[in-house]
Amino acid sequence: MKAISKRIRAWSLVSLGAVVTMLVMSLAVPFFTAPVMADEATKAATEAAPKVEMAKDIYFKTEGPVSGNPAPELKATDYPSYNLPYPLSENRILIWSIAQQHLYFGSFVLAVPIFCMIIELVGLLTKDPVMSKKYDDLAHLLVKISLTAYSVTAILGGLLLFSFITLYPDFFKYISSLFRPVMHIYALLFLAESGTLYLYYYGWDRMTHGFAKWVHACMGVLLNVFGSVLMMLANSWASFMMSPAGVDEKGRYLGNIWAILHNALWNPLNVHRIIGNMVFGGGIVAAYAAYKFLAAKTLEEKAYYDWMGYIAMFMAVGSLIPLPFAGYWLMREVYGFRQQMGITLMGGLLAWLFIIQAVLIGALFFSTNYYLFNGMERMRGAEKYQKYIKYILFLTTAAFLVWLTPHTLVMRPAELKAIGGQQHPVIGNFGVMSAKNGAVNTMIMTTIISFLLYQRSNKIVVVKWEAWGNAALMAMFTVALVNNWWLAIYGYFIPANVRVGLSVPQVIGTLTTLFIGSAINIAMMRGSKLTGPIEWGKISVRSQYALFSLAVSFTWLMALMGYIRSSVRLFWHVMEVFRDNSPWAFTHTIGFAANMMSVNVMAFWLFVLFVFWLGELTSKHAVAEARKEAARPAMAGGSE
Amino acid sequence: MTQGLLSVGILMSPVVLFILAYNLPRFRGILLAVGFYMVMTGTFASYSNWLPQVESYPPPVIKMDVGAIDTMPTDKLAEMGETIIFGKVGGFAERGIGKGQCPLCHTFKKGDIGDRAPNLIGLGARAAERIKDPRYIKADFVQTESFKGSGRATTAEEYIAESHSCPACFVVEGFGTKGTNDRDSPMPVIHKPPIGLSIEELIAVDTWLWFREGNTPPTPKEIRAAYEKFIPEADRSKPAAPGAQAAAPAGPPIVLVSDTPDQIVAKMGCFACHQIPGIALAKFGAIGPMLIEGHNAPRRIASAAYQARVKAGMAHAKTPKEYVMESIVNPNAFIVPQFAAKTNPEISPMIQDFATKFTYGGLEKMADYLLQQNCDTAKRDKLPGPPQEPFAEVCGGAAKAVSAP
Repeated sequence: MKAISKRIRAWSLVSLGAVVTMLVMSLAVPFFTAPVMADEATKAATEAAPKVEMAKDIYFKTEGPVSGNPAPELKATDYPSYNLPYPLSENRILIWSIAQQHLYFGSFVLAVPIFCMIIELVGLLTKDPVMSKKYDDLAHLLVKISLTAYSVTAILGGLLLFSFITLYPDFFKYISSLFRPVMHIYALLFLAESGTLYLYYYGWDRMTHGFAKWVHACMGVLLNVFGSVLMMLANSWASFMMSPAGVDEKGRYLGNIWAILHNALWNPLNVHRIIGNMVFGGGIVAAYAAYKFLAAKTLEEKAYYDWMGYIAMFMAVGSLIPLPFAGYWLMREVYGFRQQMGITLMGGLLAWLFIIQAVLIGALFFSTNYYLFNGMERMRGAEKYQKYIKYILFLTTAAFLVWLTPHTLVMRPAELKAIGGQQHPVIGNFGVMSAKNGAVNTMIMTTIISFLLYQRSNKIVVVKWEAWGNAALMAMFTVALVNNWWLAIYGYFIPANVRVGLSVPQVIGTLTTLFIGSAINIAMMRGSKLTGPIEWGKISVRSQYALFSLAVSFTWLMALMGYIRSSVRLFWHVMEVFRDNSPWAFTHTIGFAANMMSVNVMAFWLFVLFVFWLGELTSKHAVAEARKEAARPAMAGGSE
Repeated sequence: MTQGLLSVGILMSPVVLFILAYNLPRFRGILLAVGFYMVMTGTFASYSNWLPQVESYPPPVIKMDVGAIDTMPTDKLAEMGETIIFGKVGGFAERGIGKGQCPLCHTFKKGDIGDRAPNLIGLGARAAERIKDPRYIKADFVQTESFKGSGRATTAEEYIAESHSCPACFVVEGFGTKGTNDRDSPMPVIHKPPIGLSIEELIAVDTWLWFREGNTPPTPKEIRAAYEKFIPEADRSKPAAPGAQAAAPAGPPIVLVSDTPDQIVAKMGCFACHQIPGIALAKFGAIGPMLIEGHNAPRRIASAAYQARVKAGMAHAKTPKEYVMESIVNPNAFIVPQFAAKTNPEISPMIQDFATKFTYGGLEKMADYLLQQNCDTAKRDKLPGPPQEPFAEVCGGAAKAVSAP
C-alpha cells in the first residue's frame, strides 16, 4: 500500500506540475510570439519604407505601418435585414439570441472539463478505493453530459457565424480583416479540443489504472488548456470592440496582431469569464442533480444525487467567491480605459442594470446560505449551530440591502424633483462604492461562516487546542468584519482616487477568513468524533429548489452582464472607431432587455433539458453502480 | 406597456404549470421544476420592468454654420452650449447629460465635489491662473503640445480650448489617470470620438461656461482662433454650409415597425406640411393635404385624375392602403391637383427619399394609422385642413379651427 501511495503522490506532483506548466504556457505563448510578430511587421514596414504610411496606435500610442483599410462608414441601408415582425425586425435581436445561446453552451462545455479534471484528480488522490471510484464515475458522467452540449455549442457557433456574415456583412468583413490569423488559430484549436475531448471521453474506460490513468488525467489538463486558449481568443474580439487597440484612429490595422489581442480589457475579461464559467457550470450540474434528486424513486438514488448536488454547489460557490474581485478588476480597467464608459455603466444610463445585478448576486448568496442551512439537517449534531443562522441571515440581509441601493441614477425630471437630486438624502449614502465594497465583503464572509459551520456540523472537535482554535476563528472574523466596515465608513471621508485603494485591505481581510479560516477549521476537524454520518439523501426538498435558484439566478446574471458589457458601447460597433449606423443603434429600455434575457434564459434551459435527456438515454447503466456506493457515510465538507 | 405585460405573463404562467403538475403526477417533477424556473425568471423580468424605463438614442447632430455662430446673440449661443452639455436648455438645473457628456465627470455647482474631474465653477478666473502655474510652465506630462508646433496656451480661453483638445497637456493635481502620477489625463479628447464636438459646438460650450457666471465670454471668433491653435486642420469637422444637410447624421432617421405613429411623424417631419388627427405635433401643417386617408384614399383612387395616372403607368394603387403607401414612397406617382407646384407639376413638393427611410413594417404601420383617420377624427381634433383643401370642402360642414401659433 505504501508503495502505491508513494507512486500516487509522485504522479500527483507530476500531474499538478503539468497543469500549472501548461496553463502558464498557454498564457505565455502570445508573449513570446508578440515581439516576433511585431518585429516582422516593422521589418516589413522598413523594407517598403518609402511607400508605407505610419500611424499611431489608438491605445498603445506606438507607431506602426498602416496595414489595413479604415473602418467603414456605413449607412442604414448597409444592414441587410429580414422583414420580420418586431422585435425580430432588428438584426441585433437575432444576433443577441444566437450569441447568448452560444455563450451559454460554450461556458458550460468549458466549465465541465475543468470540473472533470479536478474531480478525476481528486479521485486519483483519494486513498479510499470506493470513494475514488465514486469521484471517477462522477467525472465520467459529467463529461458524457458535456459531449452533447459540445455539439450544440458548435452548431450554435456556426449559426452565429452565418448570422454575422448575412446580417452584419461589413462589420464582419472589418473584424475578420483584423483578426484573420486569430480566426484560423481559433478553428485549429477547436479541432484540437474536439479531438482531445473525444479521446478523453472514449479513453475513459480503457485508461483506468496506473500510468494510463495518469496519462488520461493529463489529457484532461490538455483539454482545458485548449479550451481556455480558445475562449481567450474569442474574448479578444469582444474586448477589442470595447477597447480597441492595434489600430489607428481610423481603425486601420497597424501590423501588430498582439497589440489587437492584448487590448485594455482582454485579460480582465479572460479572468472574469473563466471564473464565471466555473460558477455557471457548477450551477447547471447542481440543477441537474437537484432535478434528479426530486425525481429519484429510491433512497440510493436520492443519496447519489444529493451528493452530486453538494459537490457541484461547492464548486460553483467556491468559484463565486473570487468572482466579485475579478469583476472589480474588470470595472477598474474599464474606468482606466475610458472614464465616461465606466460612469455610463455605474452611474449613468446602465446604472439600473447594476441594481438588478445586485439583486441577482443577493439571490445567489441567499440560495447558497439557505442550501447550507438545509444541508445541516442531514447531519446529527448540527442542531448546536442552528442558533447562529438567524444572525448570519440578518447580516447577509443588511449587507444585501446596502448592496442593492443605487447611487446616481437616470431619472425622470419629476422623480428627480421628488427625491431632491440624483442621490436620495438618506439612503443615497449607501449607494457609493465604499458602502458596496463593505456590503459584498460582508456577504462573502457570512457565506464563509455558513460553510465553516456546515463543515463542523456532524463532528465533535477533539484537538487539545480547540479553545484557541475557536478563539482564533472568532477573532479573525471579528477583525475582518470590523476592518471591512471601518474601511467602508472611512471611505466616505477621503477622495475617490484614494478610496479605490481601500478595497485591497478589505479583500485581504475576506480572503484571509476564507483561506486561513478554512485551514484552521480543517485542522480542528482532524481526528474529530463523528456524531453521525452525513445522511445523503435526507435533505429537504426545499434545498433542491435552492439549487435551482442558484442555477437560474446565475443564468440570468450572465445574460445581464453580457448585455451590460455589450450595450456600454452605445452606438459604436467598435468603440470610437467603427460607428453603428444601423437603424437600431439606440439602447433599449431595461424592461425590453430584461424580457429578452428572460426569453434567452428559458430557451437555454429548454435546450439543457433536451441535452440532459439525451445524456440520460445512455448514462443509466453507468450511474447505477455508482449509486450503490452513494449512501455510504462520508464526512462533511466534501473532503471525503 | 406590452413589454411589462410579457414579464408579468412569464411570472404568472407557472400557475398553469403548477395546476398541470397537480393533475399529472407522472410529469409533476418536471412541471414543478420548469414552473419554478419561470417564477424566478418572471420575477427578475417583472422587477426590471418596474424600474424606470429609458431609451437612449445617439446624440443628435446640431446643425451650425460659421456665419450663424459668429452672428448669434451671446445668450442664444450660451443656450446652445447648455444643450450640448446638459441635453437641453434648463438641463443645468436638472443635472442632465447632453452630447458633450461633461457632467459624467465634472461638477458645475458651488459646493459640489468633483471626484473624477475638477468642479468647473470659476473656470474663467482659474484658467488665467493655471497658465502661470509652474507645473504648466515646466510641463512634465505625457503630452506637452496638442500637436507638433501648436505651442501652449497664453490666455484663459486658450487654456480652456487646450484642455478640451489636449487634456493630457496639463493635468490638475489629483485628477490624473491612476498610476501615472498625474502625468496623463483620463479625459477624452473632446473633438474626437466618442464625443466628437465640432469647433462650432465647442464655441457654444465655452460661451456657456463664461456666460453662466456673469462673465463676458470671448467672441466666437476669438474662441475659434483658440481652438484652431490646438486642433490641426485635418482633425476639424467641416462646418455645414448654410441650408445644407448635416454631413454625418448621428443616428439614421429610419422608421421602424417599433415606432409609434407619433414617433414616425416626428422623425420624418410630416407635421411640417400635414395635419394629422391624433398626432399632437401635426396640427398646423398647411402645405400638404390633411391626412384623413380613411376618407380621402378611396376618393382619390376613384378620381379621374388618379385613373389617368394609372393609365399612364405612373400610379399603381388598387386599394386605399396601397395608395397611402405609394404616396409616401413615391410621391410623384400622383399629386393631388390642389397641391401640385405651379412651376413643376410633375414633381411633388414632398420629400422624395422616404423609400429609403421607412422599413416595410414601419410603412405599413403608418399607412394603417392614416387609414384609421377620417372626417370624424379630424372633427374631434378640430383640424381646419389646409387652405387648398379645407375641412369643410372635404367633409362638409366646418371643424372649429385651432389658431395657428
